[in-house]
Amino acid sequence: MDTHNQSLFDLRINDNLRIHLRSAAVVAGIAALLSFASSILKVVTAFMNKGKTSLEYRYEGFNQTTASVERTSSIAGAIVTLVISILLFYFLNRFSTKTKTGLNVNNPQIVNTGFGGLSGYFVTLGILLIIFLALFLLFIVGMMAGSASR
Amino acid sequence: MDQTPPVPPPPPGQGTSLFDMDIDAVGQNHLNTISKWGKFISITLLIIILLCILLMATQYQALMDRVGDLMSIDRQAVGIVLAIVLVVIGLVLALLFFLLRACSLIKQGLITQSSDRIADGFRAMKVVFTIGIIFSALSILSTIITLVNS
Repeated sequence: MDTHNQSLFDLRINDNLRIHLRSAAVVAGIAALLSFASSILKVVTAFMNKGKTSLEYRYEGFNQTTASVERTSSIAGAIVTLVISILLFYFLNRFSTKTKTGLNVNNPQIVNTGFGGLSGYFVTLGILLIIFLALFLLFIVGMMAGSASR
Repeated sequence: MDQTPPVPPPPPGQGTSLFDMDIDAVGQNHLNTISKWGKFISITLLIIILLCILLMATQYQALMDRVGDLMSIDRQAVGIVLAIVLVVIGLVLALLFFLLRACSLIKQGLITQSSDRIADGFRAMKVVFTIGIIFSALSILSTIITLVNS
């Protein structure tokens, strides 16, 4: 009797895949941390520079509307950047930690959770890319419409 | 008469080898999503960057003058700025190339049910994350310099 347990799926995590998956997860973890740190620093810089910009405008004594618009867009941009960074950090960090844990304890379900994190990361990036492209196209169309109406 | 004890069946989720694990349908689905969205992101950004390079090449003289006017620097400094921009574009192109390669290899691995192909895919993915680390480190450095100078 054949005691060899044939799996339903032929795809297995062999030693080669294990090594490369682990190293990719380690590097992804570092990339996630650095990227998050960079975003936080950028937000801090934006908030620090915000005060300076508004002060310069006040000294000039005019263009107060421009100053307030710039301040609002700077804060909004910083908040949007922070939210995107948190989302991307969550997914990439999830891939890193879960994959490493799954490989260490030899548990495919945890490795799958790690793959889920990486897939969420790419889906988020893809959706953001679509949104930015759509906004860019709208901007171009608006510019063209504006120049045509003159 | 020697009696061999019955071999207990492996616990669910564990393969035949002590260290090999199966990638089940859920894991393969996640890998497929990673490959699909990664390809979309890399191809879209490659097209956008190639269009930008084409635009830069055709409008080279006007671009040099415009950068010089905007940053109030001489032609030699404009050349250095453009060289830095070209290096950054080169790094981005390398990142996108490796992302496309990683996604193609993962897809091929899923189709041929080859763990080694997927391992090659994750090796390429590691390069993508390494270039991401370089960008994040440069960004942190630049932000710190801005903070110190302001």
